[in-house]
Amino acid sequence: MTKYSILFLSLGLLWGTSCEKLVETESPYLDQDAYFQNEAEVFASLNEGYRILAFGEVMGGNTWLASELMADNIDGANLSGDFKAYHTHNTGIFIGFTRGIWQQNFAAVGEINRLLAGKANSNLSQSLDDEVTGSALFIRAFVHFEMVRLFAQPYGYSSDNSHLGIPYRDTWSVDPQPRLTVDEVYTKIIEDLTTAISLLPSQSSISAAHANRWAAKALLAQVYFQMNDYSNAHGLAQEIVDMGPYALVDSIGDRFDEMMTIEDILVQPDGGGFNSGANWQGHYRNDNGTPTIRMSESVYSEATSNTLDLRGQQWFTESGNNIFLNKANGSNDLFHPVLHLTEVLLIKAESAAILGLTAEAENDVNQIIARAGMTPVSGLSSSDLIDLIRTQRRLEMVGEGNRLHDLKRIAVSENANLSINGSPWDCPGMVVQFPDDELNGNPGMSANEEGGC
Amino acid sequence: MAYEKKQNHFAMPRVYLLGVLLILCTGNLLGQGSISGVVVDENDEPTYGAAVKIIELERSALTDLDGVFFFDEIPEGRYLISIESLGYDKIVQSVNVDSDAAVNMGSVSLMENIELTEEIIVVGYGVSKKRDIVGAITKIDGDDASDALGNSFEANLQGKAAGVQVLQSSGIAGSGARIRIRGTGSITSGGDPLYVIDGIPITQDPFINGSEGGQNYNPLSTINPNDIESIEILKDASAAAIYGSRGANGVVLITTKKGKTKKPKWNYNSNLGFSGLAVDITDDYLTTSEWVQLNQEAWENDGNVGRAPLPGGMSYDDLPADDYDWFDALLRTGIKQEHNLSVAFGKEKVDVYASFNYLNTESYQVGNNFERLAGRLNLGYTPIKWFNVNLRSSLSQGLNNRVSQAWDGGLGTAESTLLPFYSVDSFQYATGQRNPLFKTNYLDWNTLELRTINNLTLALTPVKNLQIKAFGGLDYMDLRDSRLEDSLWTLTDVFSKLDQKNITNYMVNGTVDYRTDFWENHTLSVLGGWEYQQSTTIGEFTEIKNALGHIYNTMEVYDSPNADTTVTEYDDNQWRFTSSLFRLNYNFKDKLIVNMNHRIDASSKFGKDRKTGHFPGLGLAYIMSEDSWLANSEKISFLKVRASLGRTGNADIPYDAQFGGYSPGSSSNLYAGQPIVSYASLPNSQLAWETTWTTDAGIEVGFLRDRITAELGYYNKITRDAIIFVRVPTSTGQAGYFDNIAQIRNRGVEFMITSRNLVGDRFSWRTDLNLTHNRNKVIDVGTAQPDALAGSGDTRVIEGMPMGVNYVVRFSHVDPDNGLPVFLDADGNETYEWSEENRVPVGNVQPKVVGGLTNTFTIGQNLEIEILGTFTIGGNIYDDAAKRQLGVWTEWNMQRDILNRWTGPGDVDAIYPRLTRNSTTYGGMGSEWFYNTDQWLYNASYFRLKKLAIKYSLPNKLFANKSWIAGCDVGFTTINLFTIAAYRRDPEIVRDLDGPQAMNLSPNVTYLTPPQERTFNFSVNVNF
Repeated sequence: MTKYSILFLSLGLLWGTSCEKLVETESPYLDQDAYFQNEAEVFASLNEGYRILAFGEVMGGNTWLASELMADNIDGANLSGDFKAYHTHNTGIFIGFTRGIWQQNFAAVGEINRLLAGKANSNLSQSLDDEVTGSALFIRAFVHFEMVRLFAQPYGYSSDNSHLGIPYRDTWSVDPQPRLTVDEVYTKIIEDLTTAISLLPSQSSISAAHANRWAAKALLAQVYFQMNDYSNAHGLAQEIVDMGPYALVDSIGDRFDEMMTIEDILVQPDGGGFNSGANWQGHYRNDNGTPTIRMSESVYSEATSNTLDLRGQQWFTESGNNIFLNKANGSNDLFHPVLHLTEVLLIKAESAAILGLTAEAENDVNQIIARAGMTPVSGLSSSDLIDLIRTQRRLEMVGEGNRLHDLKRIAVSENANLSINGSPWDCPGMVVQFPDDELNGNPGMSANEEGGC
Repeated sequence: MAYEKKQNHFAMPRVYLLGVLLILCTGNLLGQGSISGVVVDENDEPTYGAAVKIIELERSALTDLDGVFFFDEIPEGRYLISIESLGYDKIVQSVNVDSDAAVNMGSVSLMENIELTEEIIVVGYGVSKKRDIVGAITKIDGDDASDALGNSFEANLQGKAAGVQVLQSSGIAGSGARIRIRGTGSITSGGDPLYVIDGIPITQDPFINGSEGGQNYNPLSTINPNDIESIEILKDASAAAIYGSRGANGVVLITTKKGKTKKPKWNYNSNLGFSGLAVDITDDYLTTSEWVQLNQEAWENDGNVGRAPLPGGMSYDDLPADDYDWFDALLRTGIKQEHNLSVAFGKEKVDVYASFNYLNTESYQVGNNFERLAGRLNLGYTPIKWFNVNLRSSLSQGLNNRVSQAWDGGLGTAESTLLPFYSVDSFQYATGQRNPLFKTNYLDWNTLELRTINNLTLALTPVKNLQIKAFGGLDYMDLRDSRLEDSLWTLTDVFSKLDQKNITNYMVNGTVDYRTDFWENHTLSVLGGWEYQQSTTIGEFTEIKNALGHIYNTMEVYDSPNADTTVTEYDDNQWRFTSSLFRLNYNFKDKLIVNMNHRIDASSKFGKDRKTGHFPGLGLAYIMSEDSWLANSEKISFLKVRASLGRTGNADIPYDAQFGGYSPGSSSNLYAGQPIVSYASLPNSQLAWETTWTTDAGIEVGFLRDRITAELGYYNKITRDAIIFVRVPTSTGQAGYFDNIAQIRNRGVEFMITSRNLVGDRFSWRTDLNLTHNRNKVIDVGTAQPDALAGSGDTRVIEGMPMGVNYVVRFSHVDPDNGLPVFLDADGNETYEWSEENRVPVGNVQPKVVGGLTNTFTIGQNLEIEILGTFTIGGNIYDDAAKRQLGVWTEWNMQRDILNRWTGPGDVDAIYPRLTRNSTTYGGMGSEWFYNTDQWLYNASYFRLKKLAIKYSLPNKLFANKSWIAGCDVGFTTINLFTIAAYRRDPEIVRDLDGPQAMNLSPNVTYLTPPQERTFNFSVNVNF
């Protein structure tokens, strides 16, 4: 029987030793409850939120470009693919450009929502806890404001703003969220920003590339301005101009620099392995190749209508049939301003003009005009002044992703027949379609209507 | 010829010893004798499993591993002993048994019968006789693995085995094949079979190097096909269950050669070949004058006047008088050569096989080739009777000079973005596009693979019929993907980039194998084993600005002034398996065979809540031709029915698919000079293998003394828990997680027939035909929406449809009045609007039948002609580039078929709509890329003369006075000589794909994919 003994002994040994121990593997990752244990970990998460904001898909370029493509600053003739679809107001669900914008913007929100949910264990001091919370809420409001403007009809499209907006991600969860109405989305944005203003210090204790109270106020001013709530917009803008530590740079050429400038309220720094504005520069710059994006005849003629206008001289190049934007030329290492005094001043000027504060409006816009090398104006009629301020706004912030939203804002309050690139401002295709990967994960969510422009 | 019987040095003493042992064990019954002996083959090797019968007593026994047989309780008398072993001539000897005598017949030698050689089939962890196989296993002879010069071995399986669909990806040198065994049962995880070389599951990931280049890098290409003795494909669960959680997509067992003959056999084989396009596409595109004319037409159709602008504002004066031939510029006649030298011999204690291989295969595309150097040493050593050592070792190097994706500077640019008026000598065109020839010149890109696959087996036979084996295997790969980007191309600096991966894959196992005969006609074998496998990948990416050479050429790099180096280390990647395995094989009278397998797998790849899986398999076979009613049939010489049921798994998922969350300290990125933390994907601790239940039934039959053999098989594979990437809304900032969700069914019929139509000395003709019909159906995908599981070319996974069904808008016709395309909405009503909401599953991704037909003719003693045709009946090809080549007018060249566009009101024959440069002319067409419709589905049926091989053996008399040469043959082979197809381009396609899901969903999708090669090869083969 020896052989049987050997056999069964061996078999038994082999059979019994399918040891799971040998294949146990520790996850190299931590969930948010396990991760947030101290101040450094909280900061690393907050920094990641801001870093994502600076990605090419977000403030690094594409989110701005999305709105520019749909408006009238860009020449569509040589566009193709995704850019063409944006320009012709025919975005579908399979636009890779949209997928990136949507997911990366919300990746910043996801990051700070996990941070807000998990930071309780990390023993922050009250003041740091306040600042971190405020800074995180700033990101949340910032992203939702950008997204609701691209993916939904504007504030004021329906009288009670009951038209569909976007999901508002205010807790960390992978569950689908329904689209809220535009009214609800703006209410939440204002709530988040109001809380952020109450919690943020006037100077960030973390870095100049993190939001402070002024940044939250500047963003809230933008929000009110978009809502055609000029009195609130004016109040906030005035506060920043009068009490904030910012001043206009002397020359338009200094607005984009390799460092933070005196007019930057929130800036994204270059370095640490990435160039925050690389995508933005890549879309427009014509000093190291031929860019995809060419500017429209209409913006160029406005910029060059006054031969003194330095923006016309310095920010545009006409070459053959093409007009290029020079704003993004130069150093590879530009700091990328996200909120700046130029815009706040223009919000203040336009709001003041609309509110009938003509002298204030004139004074504000003259600072911009003078810097652009032109003669200050005086004594204009209210409507001429408003038009002038709007032109200045278009030229000063060309390429910075405002034009579409400005046109819609104006259409809502003043011009129901406005058309943008030949399409009615309120046609379905004037809103970006959601990307397939949001709809795939959120099957109950209704997509935007397509076409019809 | 008289056979000189030799003394068997091994067996004789052993027999005496055994005799004594046996007598002690069983006792010698009074008045009765015994008969014993050893059966050996012509090389004096013991013959296992020979049937020994005492004719008068109707008693039989099978020889053991040592060739020994033994009968006791034999009454006094004279007996006829017959000894039979398949493949050998039957021997009958007479024996006198005296009372109480133990008769030892000594060593009985069998003579090989070439006609009847019984095939030995390699199964997992052992071998079996073909007739004893209860499952579906196809064996392919090693000679067939090296058919097509320059192709990796797996591509040569095409058309050879039923149930095995092989699509060679393209003619790009070094590219692999997409193999699916009995359909595709996986969606997001890998659907490839498990490749096992001499016992080691090897590193085989076709996406090991991402998805870059004209074709995905193929890690099987460094294996020398000439070293392969046989390839066994395990198709059903009773066979594959022994590979447990990795057997569900089938198992391909590759066995390398060993020395068998006493006299060393040297072989030198040399090939010279020439390569071109298998299907000519060079005349399918517009000339300059046609392009300019249609460009003008599109311009005027859009309501414009004057001359239409040319691309990039080119002037009409710049148009050249003659067209540039971009195909001519990018194509060449590729030259291939291969040299293979091998030696094999086997003596009493030692057997040796050694080989050396050099291959350089150029494809038809300029700048693309694959070069292989490979050496192998296989050694067997049996110092003492009960102990054997076996070493198998290979060392190889593959160097693949790579080209860009077809559409990104490869051949496809000649079919798309390169217009015939762009000069082949210019660096850049008015559109900003650059000349791909310059890319080939200034981007020096190669992938270098160093690979060694080794194993060592120690086999111990402590007592009769019991074998204990210890096995260790190592597969090590060093893969270096290196690019040197000249400043003439980058227009900034010189960049040298090296992507390096080292994969150490090792395995140890121990097995115990025991066989026993009992109650006369019953044989039972059991196998038990334990195994551990681990694979570790480490790697880094190095980029050096201003380097003067490839990074692996350290001398050049060290000498580079101003070199600026960045190194990024990859996360270590490791997976482990630990397994127990068990097999029981029962054989009754060589007639009823039962096979049971069970494997238990635990793996680091599986989530912590589901670590261990059980994979049982059960198979039965009944050889009816052994029954008396059939035994003497003139017509039916063999008849076997078999059935099996079992459960297998698939674990081809990333090592860390289950994990997710924060990864502190993993990122060196900063924001504003401060550290950040990165958050990886979402975790799933429940993630585990995919489970497939397979039922299989088959009938194998031989007619007319097996002149005709046929096999008919049926299978039903249900995959549960198929892994998909479950989408979460991307407004979470995340994309989703892996989970076991889906259910897929593959059901099919396989048929194989081999017929020796004519048998004779002067002329013989043999036909092999195999046919496969597979139906795939997605039964359940959970809540996944159609667009959640997508492949290339708008392929989708939709419940109730076959996997990879095309999901596009239906094109109806061109409106004769206005030339606009008319589509069908989801309900089938005509509409001018193209809309995503009107997409429906269309077309037929599955061929009805795929198959291979081989006819082999032997003329006289010296000439052999083999003709292999492969074919597909039914199914569709989706031409994903047609939307651009036949759609909105852009700066692409167009297929000539665009000449059938609408030309004016009343054009009722138009196939394509009015030309327009403005995508929105066609309703709802946001851009030229939107135009996906079923108009781009083409019939996939084809017949291809895959191989025509003529081999002439020089008459032996030529070598009569040259003792050093034993034989020589010369050959001529063409691959893909002609193709008869409904589709204009190559109907056999696997495009450059970006991952396993696309590989599963999108065969037969082309996007400017380069055609297969047509090659003409000349060979000389010398034996000495």
